[in-house]
Amino acid sequence: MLHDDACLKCSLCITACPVVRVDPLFAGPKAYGPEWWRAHEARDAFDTDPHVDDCTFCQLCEAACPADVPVAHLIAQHKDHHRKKRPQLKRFRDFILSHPHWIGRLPFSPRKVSAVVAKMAQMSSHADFPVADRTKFHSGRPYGENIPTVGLFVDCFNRSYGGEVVAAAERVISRLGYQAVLMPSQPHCCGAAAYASGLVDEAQRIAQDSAHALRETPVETLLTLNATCDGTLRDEWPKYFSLSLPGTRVLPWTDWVLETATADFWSQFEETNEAVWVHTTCRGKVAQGEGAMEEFVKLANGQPLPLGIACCGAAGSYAFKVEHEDAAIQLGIKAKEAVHRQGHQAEAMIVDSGTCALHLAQYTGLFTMHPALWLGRRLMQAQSLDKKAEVSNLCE
Amino acid sequence: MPMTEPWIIVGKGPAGLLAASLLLEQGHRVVVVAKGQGSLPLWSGALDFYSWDTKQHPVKAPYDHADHLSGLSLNREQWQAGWEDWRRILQKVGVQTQVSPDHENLLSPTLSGVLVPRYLVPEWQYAVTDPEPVTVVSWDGILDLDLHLWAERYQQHTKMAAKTIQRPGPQGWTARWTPLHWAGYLDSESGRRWLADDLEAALDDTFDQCPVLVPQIIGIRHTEEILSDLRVRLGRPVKEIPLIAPCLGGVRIAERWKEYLLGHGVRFVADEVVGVDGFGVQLATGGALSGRVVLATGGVLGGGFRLQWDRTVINTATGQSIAWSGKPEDLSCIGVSDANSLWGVVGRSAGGWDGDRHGGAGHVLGTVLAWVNAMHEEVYCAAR
Ligand SMILES: Cc1cc2nc3c(=O)[nH]c(=O)nc-3n(C[C@H](O)[C@H](O)[C@H](O)COP(=O)(O)OP(=O)(O)OC[C@H]3O[C@@H](n4cnc5c(N)ncnc54)[C@H](O)[C@@H]3O)c2cc1C
Ligand code: SF4
Ligand code: SF4
Repeated sequence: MLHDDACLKCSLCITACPVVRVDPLFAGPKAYGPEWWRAHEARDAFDTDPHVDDCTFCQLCEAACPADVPVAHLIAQHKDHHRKKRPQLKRFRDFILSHPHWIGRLPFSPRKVSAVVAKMAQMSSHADFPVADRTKFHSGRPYGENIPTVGLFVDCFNRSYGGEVVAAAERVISRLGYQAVLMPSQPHCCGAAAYASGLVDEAQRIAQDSAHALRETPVETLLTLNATCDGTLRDEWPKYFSLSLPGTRVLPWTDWVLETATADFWSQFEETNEAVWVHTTCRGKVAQGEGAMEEFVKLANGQPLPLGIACCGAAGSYAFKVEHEDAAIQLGIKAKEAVHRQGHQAEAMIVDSGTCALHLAQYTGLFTMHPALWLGRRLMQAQSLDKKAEVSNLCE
Repeated sequence: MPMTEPWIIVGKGPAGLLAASLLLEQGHRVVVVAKGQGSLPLWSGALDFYSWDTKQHPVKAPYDHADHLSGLSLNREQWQAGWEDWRRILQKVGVQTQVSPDHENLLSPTLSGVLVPRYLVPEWQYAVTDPEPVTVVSWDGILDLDLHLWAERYQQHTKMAAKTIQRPGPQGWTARWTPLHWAGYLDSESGRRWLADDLEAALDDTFDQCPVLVPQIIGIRHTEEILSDLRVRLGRPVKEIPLIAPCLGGVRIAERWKEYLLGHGVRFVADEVVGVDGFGVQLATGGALSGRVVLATGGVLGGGFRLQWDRTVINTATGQSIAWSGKPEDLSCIGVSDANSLWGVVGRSAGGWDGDRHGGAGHVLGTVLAWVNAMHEEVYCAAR
């Protein structure tokens, strides 16, 4: 890579790292990324640091860097080198967790892992795990010839645990005059889970399968429901996996709604001024920035309250691993503190990732959901109000 | 959804954030596009400008810089009002600052024990109008702050006594801790408890009417709360001495400022600008944003200018080349300010001022004010 060796040692990456602030043994992105890489390249150190694995792979370090150093991606290489030195059991566990599309097919999905199982499988007995959501969503075939089509990427998490989210996203898409093609037709993963754990080659394989499956149904626009998948498909595939979806524009579902919806669409939402917390996940901040979900809430006549934390500590399967329990708890507590500090009255929070929603619900006690679900519900409310008005008009 | 044209600010360093805040106050819609963090986390947090005259003597009344201000077509009143505006914005963001009662420079310590003139200083940082005896406490592992040297220079410069106390670090401390690790720890419940107990154990009755100074590691989110709790518990003020970059003072300001803007409807787009024209900007990822543009892209360090292999410099946002003498010492003053251009330029990228020597904040403010004035003039002309 062009900028692998461009580090100026300014330490801006350290100021952006959430883990440095909660983990006394984590040396930080500069040490684990460019400094490790330089030593490694110079062959003066084959050493890896076990705590490199405490990195949540939020990529905020990389986003802060003024010299375009691929800090997080150097850390992924460091993790990969370190992985081979880890105990068998953890390696096996990481391999399984790197294939979330397999896990989603398991016939069971307990909220908590029992202490015995947790110990055996090196999992956290503290974290909440996702529960299967059997809500049916549309099968994936377009329904009309003359209706414009957009692809909706059903990621491995939402496929198994977010049926309601997918259904709501679809409902909004059709309300905007489009039809959604749900893809890929079979469960696949973008590779982010494997990559974040340092399984670099496995990530490449998983991503390749997924790209292959997505190319079966070429679409001009592919909407994502999870910020990590979004950044992975659009930015990381071409850059790190030499993969692309030719002719396809990948963007978050929320951003597409902002682009597509007219004033007419927004005007149907009642002026309730319902306050709602907004957390743009770390990977969302890196991939797209911040403020889109706030704009979205405002247009739907809600009152957005930005949560103001960097990374909630869920980080895909990070919080599920026993060795990350402390950091995940500390980061979760920061979310709770942020809610208390600002002291607003709001019961719901929208967040662009399912695992983050789960983690944030556990720590803040709030009702957390994807913006599609939030808007989908408001839409149903608006429609039922419309109906009521119609009925009362008829009665008059 | 079509709405009024927004302002597009490229860069989220201090100049971009200040321009965004002023536009927001005037009721404009604002989008900030930036590819990197900007330099605020490198700042101590104190906002200064021309602290020293040409003979390297400290400057007492900092607004007397007619030469620089006339270059920006600003008079002294506008300058003074601009600083008040900045102070007010920081207050909204959640950062209280100190200024001297007569709007002169305050004195605030450096890492080496010298008191230097600073204009606006956040509450958490030590700043005074007249030097006084102090007690300085630090902990093992904070290598940047050499207490012995600090006290020696402080006494030499101020003719005031400085008592120093060196303490061991907390349990769990490792040699790899940066100020960010310290701050994260001290923001936690257990860290706060340790700090209060440790300071109480460290202090005796010496100078018990005078402030206690500590290195700038006292949390990020809870700093003010921690310092005021300590004041109650110890019966004297506890204030920070800034360390070298990256600095927690700037980190605190940058985080709160961004949150404030987000909470007020400003959108932050993470992307690189690769083209600018009178209608908007082109983005590296292929998209475009339309609106009126202000470049706050910083200098070479900020990523606004790129030094090429052939020793030419280009503006990363516009692709245009920038005039440079080729002398390294001139690199920090180059810029692209151009009154006729279709977009505004503020902060380090406007050039003409060495922010590293004369205070980046003064330059940021001066260029932002000059741009605001030019904008008003334009509106006025259009109205006529
Ligand atoms: C180590 C250090 C410490 C300093 N400390 C102080 C201090 O304590 N007090 C003080 O008053 N001054 C200080 N200064 C001086 C000060 O940093 C600068 O003068 C000032 O920061 C410039 O701010 P800026 O907003 O213009 O640019 P920057 O802070 O550099 O911000 C530039 C922004 O533009 C973005 N950007 C650049 N190009 C593009 C592009 N093509 N597309 C998208 N985004 C782009 C960057 O990502 C960044 O967000 C310090 C300087 C240094 C180097
Ligand atoms: S932010 Fe980039 S240049 Fe600065 S220390 Fe980190 S990797 Fe190096
Ligand atoms: S990816 Fe996130 S957690 Fe990992 S080093 Fe970078 S900032 Fe820290």
